[in-house]
Amino acid sequence: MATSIATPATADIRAEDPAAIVDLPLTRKFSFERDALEEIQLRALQLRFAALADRVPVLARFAEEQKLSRIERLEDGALLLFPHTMYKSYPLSAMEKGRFDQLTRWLGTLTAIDLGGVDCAGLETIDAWIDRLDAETELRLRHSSGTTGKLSFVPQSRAEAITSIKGIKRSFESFGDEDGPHTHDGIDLGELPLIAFGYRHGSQSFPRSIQAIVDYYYGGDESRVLCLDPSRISADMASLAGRLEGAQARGAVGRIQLSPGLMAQRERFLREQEEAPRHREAFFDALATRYRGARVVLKGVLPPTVEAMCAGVARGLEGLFAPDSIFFMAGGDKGRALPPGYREQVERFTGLPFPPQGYGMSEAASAITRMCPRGHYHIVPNLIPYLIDPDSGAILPRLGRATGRLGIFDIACETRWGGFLTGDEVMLDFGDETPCRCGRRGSYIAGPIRRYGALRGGDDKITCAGAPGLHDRALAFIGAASA
Amino acid sequence: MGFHVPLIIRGRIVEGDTLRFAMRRDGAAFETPDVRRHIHALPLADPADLADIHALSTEEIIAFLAALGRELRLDRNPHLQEAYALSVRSSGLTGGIVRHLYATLGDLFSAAFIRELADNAIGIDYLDGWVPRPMANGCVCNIRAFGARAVHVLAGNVPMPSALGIIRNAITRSDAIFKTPSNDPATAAAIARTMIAMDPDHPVTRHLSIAYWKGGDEAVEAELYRPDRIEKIIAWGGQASITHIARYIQPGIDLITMDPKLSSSIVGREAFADDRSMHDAAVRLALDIAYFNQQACANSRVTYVETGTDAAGLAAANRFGTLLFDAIQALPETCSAAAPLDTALAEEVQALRLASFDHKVIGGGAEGAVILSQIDEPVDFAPLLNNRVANLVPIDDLDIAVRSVTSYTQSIGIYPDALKERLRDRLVFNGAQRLVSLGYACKAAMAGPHDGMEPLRRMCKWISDESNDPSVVPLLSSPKATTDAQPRNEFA
Repeated sequence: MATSIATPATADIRAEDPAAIVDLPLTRKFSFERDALEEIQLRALQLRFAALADRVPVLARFAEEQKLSRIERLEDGALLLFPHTMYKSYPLSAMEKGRFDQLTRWLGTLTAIDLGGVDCAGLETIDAWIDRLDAETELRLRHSSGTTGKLSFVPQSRAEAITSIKGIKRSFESFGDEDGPHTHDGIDLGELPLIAFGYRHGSQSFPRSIQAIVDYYYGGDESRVLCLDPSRISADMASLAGRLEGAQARGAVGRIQLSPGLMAQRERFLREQEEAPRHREAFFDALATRYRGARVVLKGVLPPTVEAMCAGVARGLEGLFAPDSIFFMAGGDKGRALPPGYREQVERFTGLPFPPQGYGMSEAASAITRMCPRGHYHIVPNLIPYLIDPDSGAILPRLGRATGRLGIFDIACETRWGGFLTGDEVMLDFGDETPCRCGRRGSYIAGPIRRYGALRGGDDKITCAGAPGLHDRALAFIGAASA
Repeated sequence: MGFHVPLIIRGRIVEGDTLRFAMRRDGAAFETPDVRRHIHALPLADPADLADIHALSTEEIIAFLAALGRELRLDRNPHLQEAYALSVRSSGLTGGIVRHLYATLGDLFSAAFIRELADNAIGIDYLDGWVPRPMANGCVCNIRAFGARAVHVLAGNVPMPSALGIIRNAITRSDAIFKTPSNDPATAAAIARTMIAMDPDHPVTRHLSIAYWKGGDEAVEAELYRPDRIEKIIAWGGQASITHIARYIQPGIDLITMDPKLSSSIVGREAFADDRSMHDAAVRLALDIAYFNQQACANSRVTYVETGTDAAGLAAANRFGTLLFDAIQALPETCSAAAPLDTALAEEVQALRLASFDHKVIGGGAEGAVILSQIDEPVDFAPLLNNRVANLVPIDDLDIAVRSVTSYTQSIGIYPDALKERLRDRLVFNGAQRLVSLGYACKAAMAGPHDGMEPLRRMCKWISDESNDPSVVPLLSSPKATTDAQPRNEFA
């Protein structure tokens, strides 16, 4: 049934801080009148453009090419959507040759954070480069899984990482007085223990979020967080895995050169691989003892979470958590086949109903949204959605319902340009003529989401999921390489 | 809009029981009879039925094919017109090029070319009869090339594989079942229908079948790909088509693959000696890149230019890039024409233009683009280059170009010819399969080897008939045999 709610005043969102909209209660987020929301969004788009056009060189060039000197209408944002290729437009060889000065210079064109003072001397691995950026700047770089041969790097700031987890926290909330799996009493992150089905450390989205959650919601208390793998998912391994994929496609695997820096880390990678089964044992032991019957927050991405939970059921672990636990699952199948009956396995393992799935994209500061009871993904209000004709690139009218490629401008991005093109084909309903009957206002995705990349036979979405298969192959390669 | 494509089995047109299939590009569909209902008629049941075509001389076959070529005129052949209409919609090429390809398809059947092909690739003597070859030990080994029962899994990016397949099949006196591709189900059928109109009972007509089924359809392939039904599979199209076929490969079935390949170019320092040479090289390179809108395996994607990578070298390479871009734009529309880039490629080019310090980009829209690397490396997305998007890579040392060659490389166009001779052996060791004067990458010597092999020879069964006179060649049991200076020819 539709929920009636009071319309919040737009004055809640101060003009100079559009990112605050991410931390509004979920009910409020989806209660904006269209005009009021668009007013906030346009103001924010103008603010971001004015602030970033001089500080993000790529944006300046793009705007010049589009002959855009200022933003007048919401539609102008659609002229400045970065393709995903923008975040991997560095030469791969720079990585292979350890030219981290060159990479830093490139990265500097995509962010307003000043990287000019970063000293890249002595850096031999991507992991070390990212650590250096973490140590010396506000940048908290996120990279993709490298499934098609090259890592993408999204230059997220520390503040944006916090914004991102605020969005995650709000996404757990119920809308209005909706019940079912959405219901909960407001107790969540920071109060309940967090069980995360992924790596604890690393610079992919998932471990970056875990780090931000630990810092922001748990005051740095690691003991409240349990990860499936306590180690680091290495950017070097992801990059090597990607290069192996690419080299295989070119018939040139034998020519992959491993940098001395990577070879020096070889023993560590192999040792971590050996330890992985023990980590998993420890994870399941903790669930079976310390967390059995406890009220927890479960967080994971579909394929690795399903895989781990099925393995848990195979060990006889069932009905582990208190029924009022919070269960958050993001992502689609990422092209990986899931075992038959996996939903039942997940329910057996957790003792909880299979959760409504989430949809998001790592290019945004905060995009995560959970499927509503009517089966739709509603676009959170910090995102301005656009529909683009996939062939002509024309911008479709922001009215009614149409199918096209989804473009997004995220007003919560502060240090990089928030406009990007997703690789997703969606049927988007702008919510003006046929609002969703769940009662949420605004735009929503009204049909299945299809990946253009998958349609073309390749895919390198910047996912929050690791790609363990690839990671293993990279480890096997580095293991076979003579030291 | 629907198209109808018949099933053709050895000179007979089969209709009825149609299935509908989507074509690759624009959602158009075609219908064709369900091959599963005719699967038992498709293979040549009795291999002895190949006798009729072996009774023909090569000249008789050439005469028939040449007459066929004269009938393949786009202005008056309704079957070809239909195939053309379908191909215009399904192929990735622009209308002017597709029209040119169909308008000149008949030329491929010229008697002079086919004679040259038969003689160069196999030897007409070996096709027309037994050729006696005296061995050093006194044995006379009579050798003849026989036809085989084959399936050709065709690629559909251009109509030539269909025509070439028909010529190769006729010359080798084989029996072919063509499995047509979904983006060109009609060209081979159009040629076969023209043959039927000429003479439905001619042995060349009677040893050609044209069918479409969805690649991987077990009901068809498990029945067909058996050593008692076919002996050779000639597969275009690489991994996608091989994946289906691989499971049926077993002793008795010979797989000949025509893999997808990528090609490149090397322009030596001589081209930059003066304006005239530079212009000449640019015009030639433009053809190697842009002919067929860079859709063919022979089209160059990455060009290594020996300008050096210092400031003067980069300036020369960049200036050459401008000449190249202009030369591509100046090509006639029967060769090449502006066409929208694939989204994936367009986004790669856009990202380099906006965000790379290491590349300059000329163009980038439907007119195509020249990406000027400012480092001695090709772009990371080089395999995606098509629709007239080229990448120029300046180098100090030709060794960089040589080492870039892999087993996926087909042609390398080189300027000048003297450089080609200097580099050729090393290029081949790295994987190159064809070296060619710059500007001629798309004008292949078709009577020569193909993708590093001689497919016509492999399409044949090479049979020996050995005559031995015991007074010349002692029997193996003879005491003389063991002291024979010749290697013993015993098989344990």
